[in-house]
Amino acid sequence: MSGKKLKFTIGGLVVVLAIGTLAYFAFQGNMVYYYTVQELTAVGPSQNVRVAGDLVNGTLEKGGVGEPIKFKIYDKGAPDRTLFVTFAGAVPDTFKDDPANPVEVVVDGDYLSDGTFDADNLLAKCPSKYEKALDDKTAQGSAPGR
Amino acid sequence: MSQIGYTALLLAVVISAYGIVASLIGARTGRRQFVKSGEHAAYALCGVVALAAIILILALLARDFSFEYVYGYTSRELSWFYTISAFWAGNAGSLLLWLLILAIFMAVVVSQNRRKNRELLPYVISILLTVALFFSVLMIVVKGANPFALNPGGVTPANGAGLNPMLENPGMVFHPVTTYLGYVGFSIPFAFAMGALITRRLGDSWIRSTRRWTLLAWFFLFIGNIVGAWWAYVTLGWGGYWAWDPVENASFLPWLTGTAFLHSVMIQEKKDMLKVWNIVLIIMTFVLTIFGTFLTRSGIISSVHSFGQGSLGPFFVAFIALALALSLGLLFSRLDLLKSRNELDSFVSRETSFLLNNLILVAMAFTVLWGVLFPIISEAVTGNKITVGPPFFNQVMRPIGLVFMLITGVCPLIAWRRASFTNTRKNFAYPAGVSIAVLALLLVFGMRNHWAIASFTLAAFVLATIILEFARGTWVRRQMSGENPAKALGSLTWRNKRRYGGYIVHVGVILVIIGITGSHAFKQEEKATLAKGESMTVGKYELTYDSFNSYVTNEKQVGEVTFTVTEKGKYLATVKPVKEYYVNKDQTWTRIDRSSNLSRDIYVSLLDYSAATGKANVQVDINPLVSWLWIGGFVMALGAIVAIWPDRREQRRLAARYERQARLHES
Repeated sequence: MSGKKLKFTIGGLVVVLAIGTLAYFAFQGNMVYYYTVQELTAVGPSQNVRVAGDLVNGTLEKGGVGEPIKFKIYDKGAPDRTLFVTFAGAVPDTFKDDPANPVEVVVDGDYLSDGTFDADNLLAKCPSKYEKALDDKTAQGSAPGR
Repeated sequence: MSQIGYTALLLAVVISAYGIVASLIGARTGRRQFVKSGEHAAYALCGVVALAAIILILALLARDFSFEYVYGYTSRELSWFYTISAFWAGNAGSLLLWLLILAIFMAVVVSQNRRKNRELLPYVISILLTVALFFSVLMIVVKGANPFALNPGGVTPANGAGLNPMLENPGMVFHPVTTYLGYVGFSIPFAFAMGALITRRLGDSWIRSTRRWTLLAWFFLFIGNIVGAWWAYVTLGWGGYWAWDPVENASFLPWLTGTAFLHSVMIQEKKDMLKVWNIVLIIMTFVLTIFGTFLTRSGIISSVHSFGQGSLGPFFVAFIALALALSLGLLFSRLDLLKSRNELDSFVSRETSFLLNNLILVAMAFTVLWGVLFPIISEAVTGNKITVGPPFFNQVMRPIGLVFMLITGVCPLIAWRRASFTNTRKNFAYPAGVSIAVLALLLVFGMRNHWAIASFTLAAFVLATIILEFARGTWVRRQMSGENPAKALGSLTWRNKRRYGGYIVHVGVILVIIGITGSHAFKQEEKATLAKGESMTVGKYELTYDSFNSYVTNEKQVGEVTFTVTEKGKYLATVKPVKEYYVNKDQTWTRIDRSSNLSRDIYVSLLDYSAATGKANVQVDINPLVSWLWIGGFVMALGAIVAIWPDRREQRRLAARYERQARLHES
């Protein structure tokens, strides 16, 4: 490789390395473990995690206006292990208790030592239809990740 | 009717397969009948796919609910506008839309190249037909991907399930179409690049023949992205416009690499450099468009969009792997033919700044891709699924974006090949002065957010650079033509649409960045539960709950709350957020309201209400400068249109100039 080409290749590598380092540290600082209900209950109390599960029919309790909602989620195929979730933010329009259309739920928050999950973010998705899947970002309490 | 549609798809498979074989035989043996036959296959494909599309539209308009797809996405109450757009509301229909756009583009390409690129064209056709074959096979073979499937059991329900009210928004009608126009558009330069590699015709003709396609694809993909963001902002109601959701990222990635490609082919045309880099970029862009199409429907990454689980995944993965392997392999085998005539001369040159920003764009794309793919990778490798959200993406993109802006500003000020200190210093003086003045102003007015200060200062720098370019060009033009300044500016731009259209796009980008900076750095958000008459304070604004109205129609229950927005007692606006509940569909729809001006949006969402007590739970977001995002988007679109606008005189002038340069290099 000529001297000039070497110079530019190194220059390019420096840029890539700089960005890579930036990305690496940003990554390390913002990783969120994504668990199923069973995995989370096995891991125990954790902060700032994400859990996915299906809404257990009949467990959705809406408080009064402005009060948190409560519900349970479980892993499809393991109905005996449920997770009790409270959420005080804005409830997405897709989030509803319909036995005919199971709602997939993703919550971000803390798994507390009392066994409940304190969610600060709620995404709801209905897997059977595209247009219902679009809704899970509606009217959330705060922008995701804040 | 569904039989005809399905048969049309089967024909599409057969015609594509035939066309591939015929074109390849024609190309290898030089027998013109085969080449012609391949071209006819491309036209025939267009006809057959158009037929399939028409059948689906007819079924939608006739409200034929025996079609599973028509049942799933429309209902008798749906307006005609949304009934037609339900064509692409779901997985199967959107695949057909992709194929339709591809077939039409292919027919145009064949027609455009009746008298040129004759060696390339058979290969171009066979590559495009391979993509078409892929999509047609998907629709025929994969469960849930057939737009003409009938309901299981052959039932014909009396009414359809209906379109989700969230999609009844003009933005959501245009977003998929423009995004797909963008995706498919990029397959044209990709096919030409591959054809150029195969035929070893690695001059500039493949770039020049596809330049307008690249610009159009870039333009449409951009519109798709920004309309998606707009829709998220006004309809989804969470107060923002971009959440780094995997599917948002999916259409952003090819746009990033496409932007890089767009710029670096300019360097190849002007300086005959970066030939390998350009091919790598278009391969990346094409693969990312397929990847983007895949992400919206695979269900592998939980996201806003995912069409849901399906068996489509393995097909897409296989196709992407094959496309990457073949195209990179082909590139590798032709490396010796891709030696550039010129080299980079100096770190401080326009070429280097172009390349640097190019590298940054690609690095941005890879970083975003990393964030998108990591959950899958980590699960495969360690068994733990790890995700990253907006904080990761924002943390990375912010500093990179600032460097990117700096280089964008510097680039037109530096000379080609090697910049000397004296003339660079002269060029820098005015823009640097302006940005220092802006910096001082910001500090004097009390701004302390470092990112915002840096962003606005650099924005001023870039804008000053661009204004300087326009001013210089106008001055020179006036010397020649004696026109008045306005006319000189207009004719300058119109006679050099490529260059000055591009500068207009850059102005738009800066405006978008200003909008993003304001709405992120200075965003304020509050939630409160109020009874009638009560107020809440958000930032410097006060919102008072004025009145409540609830009513019931035969399809929905509605709650409306009216707020008065004041600042220090002075009336500013009235906002009326609404919450609707569609009884039959058991579907809630939150409709935000906002008061919008150039300096900020006051964005109000009615989270919950009680008709009995009149209590309302609301979320209020103050998004400063967010309007500039939309204005900037509009300016970008406008600039792109100017740049794309056909101009034979300019084309001839530039072609002559490059030819002269090429001859100079040879001597």
